[in-house]
Amino acid sequence: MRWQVTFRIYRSKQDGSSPHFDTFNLEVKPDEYVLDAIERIWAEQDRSLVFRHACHHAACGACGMRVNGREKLTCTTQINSITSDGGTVLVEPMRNLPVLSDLVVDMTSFYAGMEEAQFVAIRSAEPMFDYVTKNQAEVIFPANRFENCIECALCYSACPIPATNPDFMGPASLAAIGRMVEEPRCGADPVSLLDMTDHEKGLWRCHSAFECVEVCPADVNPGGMIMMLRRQVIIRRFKQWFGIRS
Amino acid sequence: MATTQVQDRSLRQKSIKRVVSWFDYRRRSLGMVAFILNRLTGIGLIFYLGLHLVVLSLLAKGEMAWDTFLSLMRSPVILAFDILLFAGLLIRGLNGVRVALVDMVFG
Repeated sequence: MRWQVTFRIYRSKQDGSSPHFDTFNLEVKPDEYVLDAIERIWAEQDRSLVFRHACHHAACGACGMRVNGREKLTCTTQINSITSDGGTVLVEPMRNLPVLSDLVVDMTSFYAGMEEAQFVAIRSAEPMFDYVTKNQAEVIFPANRFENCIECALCYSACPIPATNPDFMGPASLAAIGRMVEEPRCGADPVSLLDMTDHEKGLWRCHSAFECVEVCPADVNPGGMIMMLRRQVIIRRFKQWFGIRS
Repeated sequence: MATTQVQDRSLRQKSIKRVVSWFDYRRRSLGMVAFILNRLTGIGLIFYLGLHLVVLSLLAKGEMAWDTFLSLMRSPVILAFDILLFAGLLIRGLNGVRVALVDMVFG
């Protein structure tokens, strides 16, 4: 079975021309992925279309875009999950990051935030899951969650705060710091990590819209990590006020 | 000079677009509704605070000015605005409770 689908794709070049949408009609398989369709548009209809992709299986985080207004990894978004035969698919670049060309945004500031978090993704030793007891598993499995982060920046795009506060640290870097506080590695100091987030451009700028949690393709739960950090900061302040040592 | 003006206009347009993006609910989740209402009520309450101070300044103009103002305030339209103000305060206050609960208990 084949569907006729219209793709409206955001176009923007740094040659002074105005940003606009181009329309491409494509015959697709219903269970085909949006990224496959974009690749075919590039191959068959317009070789000037610029987009970013790599792994095609939600591991690299390169193909994050807005599909029908929602942040998605296009490599794992099936066309039949967002439209029907004769329908239209709107493809736009992510929000809150400068557009370099068409669907590609400049991720420099996002990666700089992740770098600042000093998140160590590589462990010196991996847990042996076959041998862990139930109690150990309760500790180890939650601690593994953030390692799922593929740094796709969908959370940063969906968050309503960076639109008017570009200095906001963003959900991903706060979640990375949260993981380091939960499980300090390579000599990381939880107290200084908390200090990194305890200011108006950090934890307290989040307005709890939880859009980051909604769009995260890797169950990182950035909003939950931000709430956890807030609790840690508040507990630490209470302890300081009452002279209790951690 | 002309280039600077074009750049200024472009920056202004971008700023307006960014502020408008606060209220873009399309394809968003329920948390975004709380965010939008928080922004709307915040802007509304700031506007009300300014208005409140202007109104209070009428007291300095004497009893006559204040009585005229009070009779105006009894109109149904103004009462409707009062309900709106109360709703704004309630929404903002309850959202504060939600954020505190999410921060400290449920988040």
